[in-house]
Amino acid sequence: MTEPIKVLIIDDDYFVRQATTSLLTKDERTEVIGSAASLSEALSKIKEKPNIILLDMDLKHSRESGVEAIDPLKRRFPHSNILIFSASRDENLILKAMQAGADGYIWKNDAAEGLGSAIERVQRGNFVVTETVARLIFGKVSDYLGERSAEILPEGKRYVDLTRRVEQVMRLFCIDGMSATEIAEALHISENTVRSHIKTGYEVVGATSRREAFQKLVARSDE
Amino acid sequence: MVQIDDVRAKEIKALTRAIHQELTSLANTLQGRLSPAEEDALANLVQLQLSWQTLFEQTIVESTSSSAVSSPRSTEGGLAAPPTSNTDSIVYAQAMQYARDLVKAIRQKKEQQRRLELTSQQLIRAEKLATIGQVAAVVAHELGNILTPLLMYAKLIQKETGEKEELSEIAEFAGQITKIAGRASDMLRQLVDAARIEGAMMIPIDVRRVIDDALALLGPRIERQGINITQTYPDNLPLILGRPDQLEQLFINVSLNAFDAMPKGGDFRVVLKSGDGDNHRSHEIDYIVISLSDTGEGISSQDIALLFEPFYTTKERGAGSGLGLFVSYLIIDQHGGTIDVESEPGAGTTFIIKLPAAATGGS
Repeated sequence: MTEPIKVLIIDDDYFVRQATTSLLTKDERTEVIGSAASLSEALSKIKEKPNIILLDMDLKHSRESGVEAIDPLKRRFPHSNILIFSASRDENLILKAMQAGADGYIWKNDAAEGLGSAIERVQRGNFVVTETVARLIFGKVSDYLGERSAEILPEGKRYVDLTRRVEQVMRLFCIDGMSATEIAEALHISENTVRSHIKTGYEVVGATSRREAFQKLVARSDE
Repeated sequence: MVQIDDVRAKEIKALTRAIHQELTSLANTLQGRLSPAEEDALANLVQLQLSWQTLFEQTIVESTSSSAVSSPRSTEGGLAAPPTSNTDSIVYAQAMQYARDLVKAIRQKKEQQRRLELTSQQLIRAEKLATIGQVAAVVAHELGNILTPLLMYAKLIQKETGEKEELSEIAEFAGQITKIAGRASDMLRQLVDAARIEGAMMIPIDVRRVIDDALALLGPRIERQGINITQTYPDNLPLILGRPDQLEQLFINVSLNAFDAMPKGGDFRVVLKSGDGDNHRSHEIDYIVISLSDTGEGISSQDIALLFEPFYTTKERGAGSGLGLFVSYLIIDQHGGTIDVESEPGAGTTFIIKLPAAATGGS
């Protein structure tokens, strides 16, 4: 069996910390190495390096908000991924957190069902975001594709379809973390087509890797 | 506004003055035919244009005189040339800022106009519902922190007891807790999503696509209940600025409401129109009109008055959350739109939703 994923929980609510610790301890995929009510408590108390930091956005009674805590946490634990764990569904806030370097977001009310797998996916290098945020980010792809996709299109099909296809492929690739082969299978198109869509997607946002593509899309989504 | 030669400067001057004249003559033509608020809006627009013109002429004077001294390349640049020197940048930024302010002022006028078009009764309702929405959002957020551990513990009990035969009843109880808390969670999600107040991000959306998506999701229900759908869409429909998930939720809620009114089947008609064909079009809001009609039992007039109130439902306890139309109302309000209901008991109900069209061109 593989090593369990080491999780640090930062949340100002006592009951949320307790319940989340129990839930993740009972889940064989994860192990809780500590919990803290604020950024300063986390920085002073936690010695072991977590794989995943579960970070609440709404830290009352502390100087830093959740978004402001991301940078110091990244500096202290450069190899840890940060999963936002929030009662808020405000996409502006979620995007701000992603721009600050967070690797995913899960709504607290969905956590009882989906927290374990969200942690697993972030640990594998995927990004976990809500449908709304995904749409907002990928809505931007069509803006950037614009005329360009018409140019690379064979035999004058409507470019809208292609734009949608590129978007769809980029979503499956960046957010769902599927491979080109898996996407080809799921969409009943050839692997080469998938690869060329990914290439177009990269070109449009100016990226060379999956992570970079995602970060650039996030960064541009507030323009 | 970088390097502008004399010829270009004259052209621009002439152009701005022409715009001013057009605007003034428009104001004169419309005089007496407008509501006080509309007149006010127009007067402000004229004033804004005048300030714009003044600023523009100053800018041209400054930039032509400074370029004559400092640079011989004054014939190269046009209006759209990027700023090169520091002062140019400042002037350019100022002008751009002014253009943005102008657009903003026009938008505010439009919003004011929309508010004025509502009757005072609608306004009282609007204020009341908006306040309830804000309170609900705060409460929903706080409740999230209570519901989260509750759901987690219920899940843990389910997990720990589920494998043991003798504890299966306890597992079932925990399952019920999950189910009930899940309903609360679903209500919170709807409220939090719909009542998010400021600065929600909007993207250009084709309403036709959103309605198609919503109806596709309702497909099984439509089939089961024997509902006949007709969709009438124009070929050209302006895009609107909105949030796709929210608009989808809106159409699902309103459609479900219609389906509930036709338990034995019936017709559901979706008609889309663009609403810019009114008399005084020059400053009329461009919007799209979506009417959704059913052939169901209809709604009595005293029920219509309460239709959008939260937790108001004529359905059996547990059958409806009483939030569907309230949430729909909040979503429409956030999109700057309006919703109206026409109903004839026994014959059917029509919901008329108006949503402002996105500004076309590069704003």
